[in-house]
Amino acid sequence: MSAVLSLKPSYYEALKRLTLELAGINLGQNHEFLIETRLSALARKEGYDSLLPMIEELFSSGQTRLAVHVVSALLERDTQFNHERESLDDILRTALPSLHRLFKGTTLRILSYGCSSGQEPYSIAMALEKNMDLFPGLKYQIVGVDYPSVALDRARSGRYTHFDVQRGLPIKDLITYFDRSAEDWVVKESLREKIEFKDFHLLSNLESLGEFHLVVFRNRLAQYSAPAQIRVLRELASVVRELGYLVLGRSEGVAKLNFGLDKIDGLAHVLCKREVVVEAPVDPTIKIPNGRTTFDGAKRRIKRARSELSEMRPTKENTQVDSKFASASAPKPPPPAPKSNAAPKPNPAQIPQPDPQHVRPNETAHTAGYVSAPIAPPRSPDALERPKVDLQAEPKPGAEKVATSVPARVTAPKTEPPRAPSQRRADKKAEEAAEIEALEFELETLFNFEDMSQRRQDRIKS
Amino acid sequence: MKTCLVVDDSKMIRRVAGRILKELSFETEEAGNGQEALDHCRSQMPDAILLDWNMPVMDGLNFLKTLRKEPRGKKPVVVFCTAERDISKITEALEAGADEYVMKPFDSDIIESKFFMAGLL
Repeated sequence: MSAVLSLKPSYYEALKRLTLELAGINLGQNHEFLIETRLSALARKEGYDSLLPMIEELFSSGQTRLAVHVVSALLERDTQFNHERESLDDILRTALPSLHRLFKGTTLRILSYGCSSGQEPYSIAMALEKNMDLFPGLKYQIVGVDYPSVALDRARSGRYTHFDVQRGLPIKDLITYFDRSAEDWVVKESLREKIEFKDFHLLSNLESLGEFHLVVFRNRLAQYSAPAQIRVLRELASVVRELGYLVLGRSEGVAKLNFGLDKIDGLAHVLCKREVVVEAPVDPTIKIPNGRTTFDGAKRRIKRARSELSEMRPTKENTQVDSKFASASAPKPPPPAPKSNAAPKPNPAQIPQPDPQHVRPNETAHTAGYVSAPIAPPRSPDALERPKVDLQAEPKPGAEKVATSVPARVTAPKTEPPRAPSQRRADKKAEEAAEIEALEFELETLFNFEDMSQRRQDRIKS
Repeated sequence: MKTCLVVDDSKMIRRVAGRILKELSFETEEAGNGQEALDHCRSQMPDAILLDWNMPVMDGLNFLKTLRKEPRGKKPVVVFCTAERDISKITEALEAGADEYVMKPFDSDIIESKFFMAGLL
């Protein structure tokens, strides 16, 4: 064989490296004769006397255009119509029904990646046309891409020899979708106008091609080096739109890397792109109907606090100690107003009426002591003067006891008529009830706010 | 093993086609024109027939029309193999009952592909 080869062995190695670097495709061993044959034709086309001057100029000048043409010539494939008919049937059986249902009314975009001389995109188009009764109203547009080459020019023209049209193409399809032109056969205009062919470097970014409902890349994966395989699959997956399909050759698959694609019907070579579910931003003011309310936690804590409070009900001893402490301590802030109407209503003559402007609904009692007074609003200067305690007056029976049972600031005036013991007990119970209720309200407000705050933080984190 | 009758007035074509079909695991018989082929079919019907169009005595199209009218027996798969390339001729052959159509010149890939599409492989 070496007698008919015109290039030195080092040039073949250099050409193989060039093909690997530019296209990611490994030509393998014993391809010298193929390189010689294909590049000799290119050299004649480019105007060189023979192959050697072209190769010498390629490696001395490093022309990008010539390099691309050389690699394109080396990568031209011999394809045929309806190649691997079974995988085309898989498209018709799995991908097309789903796409037709999901994207009804829109034009399905189909990419034939590495289409060579165009038999694949034309075969897909013919398969779709023959099955139009299964997919009524189906509209489609096929884009075939490959390196710029003579093969791609042939694909654009749709012209095939009688050898080409007899490999894989049934005779009925030939007379339906082709016209005879001299010795060749040309794809009918009605079919050609649905297919667009583009020059494209197969390792470049595919974003400019847009998104496709179906990407077909069959039986070429094995040609690529391992890193190039990942790159090509990642690029192809990126142009498949959500719920669209990537179809590989029947013996191919994506192995462990799925690129956001799922196998369909147990077929490793038919892959569907997952739907990306984007959660709508949650309005924090809306309660989520999850079976429990936002108050559940607060209610539990209030119940616990209530039970603790009931255990701390005042006894005679601790009441006295506390009241001593209360009377000895500095002036305290005004007692908060009770939340509920159930609170005992003080005598308007004894306790000044609150100024409605100064009362806030959530204002609560100070809960440092185990017994606090009913909540009262801040008093006006006039009102503060009114409840005066006449220290000179003779204490009346029972007045001292009353004074010790409640904080000094709400001690009844000296002029108040003595109350019966039963009446005092009733008043005391009413005070406790009002206090518990005020505390409940305070806790509820506090914990509810905490719940909401916690939920908001969780949401931000997620 | 399936049987195939090669019908062509050219001995060279019969020999080349016979060799390709043997590689595809067919047992082959030969006939020089349509009448000979018809007699052969009446005595022993093959599984497939590779049929030329233009032949003396009885051409391929008349043979096919007569064969399809035969009342009994199995219906062989008929693959036309001819230099006729007009769409009108191809349509005529299909209407007469041909299952596939090979345009001469042919090679082993074409014969294999056409026999596959005709359901013989």
